[in-house]
Amino acid sequence: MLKNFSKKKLIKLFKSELKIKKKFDEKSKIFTYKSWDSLANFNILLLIEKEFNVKFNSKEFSSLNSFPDILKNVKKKK
Amino acid sequence: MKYFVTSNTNLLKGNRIWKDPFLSKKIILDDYDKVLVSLNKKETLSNHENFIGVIYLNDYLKTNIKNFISILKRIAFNNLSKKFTFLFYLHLSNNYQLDKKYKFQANAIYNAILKFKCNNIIINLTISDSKGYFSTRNKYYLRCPFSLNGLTNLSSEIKKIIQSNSIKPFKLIILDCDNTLWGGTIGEDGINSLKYSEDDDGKVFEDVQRHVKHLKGQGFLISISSKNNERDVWNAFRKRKMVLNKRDFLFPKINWFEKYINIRKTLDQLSLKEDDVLFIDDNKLEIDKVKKKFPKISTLNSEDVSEYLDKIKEHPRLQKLEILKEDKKKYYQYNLKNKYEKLKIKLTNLDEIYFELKQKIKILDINNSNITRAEQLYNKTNQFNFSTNRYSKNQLTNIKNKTNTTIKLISLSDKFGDHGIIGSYIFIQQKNYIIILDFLLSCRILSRKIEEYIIYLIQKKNTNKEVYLRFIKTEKNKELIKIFLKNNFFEKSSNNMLKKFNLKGELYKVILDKKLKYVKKFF
Repeated sequence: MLKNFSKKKLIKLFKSELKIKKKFDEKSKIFTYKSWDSLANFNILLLIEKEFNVKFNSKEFSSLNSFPDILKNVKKKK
Repeated sequence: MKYFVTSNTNLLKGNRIWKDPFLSKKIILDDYDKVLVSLNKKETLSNHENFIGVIYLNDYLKTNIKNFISILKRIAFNNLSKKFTFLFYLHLSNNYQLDKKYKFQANAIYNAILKFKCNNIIINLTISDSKGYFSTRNKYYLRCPFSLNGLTNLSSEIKKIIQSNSIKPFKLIILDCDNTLWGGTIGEDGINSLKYSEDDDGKVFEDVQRHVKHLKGQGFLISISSKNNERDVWNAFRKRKMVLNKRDFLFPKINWFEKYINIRKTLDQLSLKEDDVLFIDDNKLEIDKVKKKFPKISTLNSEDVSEYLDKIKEHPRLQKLEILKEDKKKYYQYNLKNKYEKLKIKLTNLDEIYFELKQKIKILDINNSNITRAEQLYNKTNQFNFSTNRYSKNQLTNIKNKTNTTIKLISLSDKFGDHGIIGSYIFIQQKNYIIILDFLLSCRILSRKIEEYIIYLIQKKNTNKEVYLRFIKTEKNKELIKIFLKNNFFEKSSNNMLKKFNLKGELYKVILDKKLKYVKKFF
């Protein structure tokens, strides 16, 4: 069973994890924000797995690094 | 002081599990894969007191295990005043042959470290597989073998370690008997129908007793407060061949008085304070009555026996990460006190008692074998402690190395046996005078003229110097010390000298007169 997922919730997760206070850029990807480095990227993916009860496989885990891609991927899983 | 957490894997420094308000205040996370580097660095070692190493054992199983063990050994032995906690994690593959090999090697490491017998190193081994705490994907893509679940577990493990280090363990556990040490009541069911050791409920009570015995071995004092006929209770222990027996309990109170009267008496006999005590009873009314008289006492309801067994196992104040020699000897030492009290009743002339005791004082230097006990004394002693300064091992070592400063430990033996290290003092030396900055004695051995004798010894060793004693008044020490200062050989002096050293407190000058010299006859 997948937990409730919405774009809004995903943005909220990104904002809190990357400590962004302004409006979130929905086209953003890794390194767009100073706080979004490679380790932060992994931390986001791990958190998404936990929060929305999805699982990324090895390939996804190493290649997903932009908001649109992640959104598309999680939506597909839902 | 923050805990230094280091690992041979990536612990995902930025992850939100580390942003927990408690943890972020208490720990410093090391960089990725730095464990052996950091623990070998003088800088890291001197900046921190407590170290937590998170070790993913699988990494070392492939290489030279002996080398790894010898490195840990060197770290532990070279830094006796620091505390090291190693959390070992073994990642199982669920392949039978492979796991057999891994488990065998992990156990070899575990046992080798236990054999160090070093007080400053604590280890814990957690075994899990990719379905539990680990994730093979994270291991290769993140260099972090833990799953998020595993990391969360690790962080709560670290939290537990820090908490149990800062919590003061209980000193005394007072237990009821009926429905606490066995099921049923002696008065109604009779000794033979008590639930103990057979199946169902009885097995639980046997395990309760086994755990209480285990706690006793760790240095917790055990006593009884039960409304029963005393003979019946001891008969029950004996006839049902229980794990605990009469000798395990200190000052048991089995009578029909109110429990708070008994507890008051026990506390006096052991010179303990109410917040050092855990009281366990199955009757809520009894607990409430005790709680009313002693608001600071901790209580535990044993009504649901299996729940209560879990509680006494996991209670944070019933944990001891390290057990000192002195802790193990505690029963023996309280028994010495007991014998002394009896002697006091037999002989009414105090001088006679002191002669009869044949007390022997030894003044010792602080060293690696007794520094943990010294730290314990400085941090536990309240009543007879002139400054109530708390020192860590590191600070004690620094004091020891300072010029013009002397720190000594005091040990005592008497005709009943060896009391171990029971006090300490620190003084600074100047050309014409010395100031005793800290002076403390365990309250177990007070009022035997030792207090005076130590002052005498210090004065005697510094014959041509004036001796001053510094006193910082606190809520906890004021009563005992005021009495001591009044009855003895002191003269209030001006605090100018303290101000010169930028020190707090009041200053008392020691007067060496006949009365003080008289004390030496007793030693």
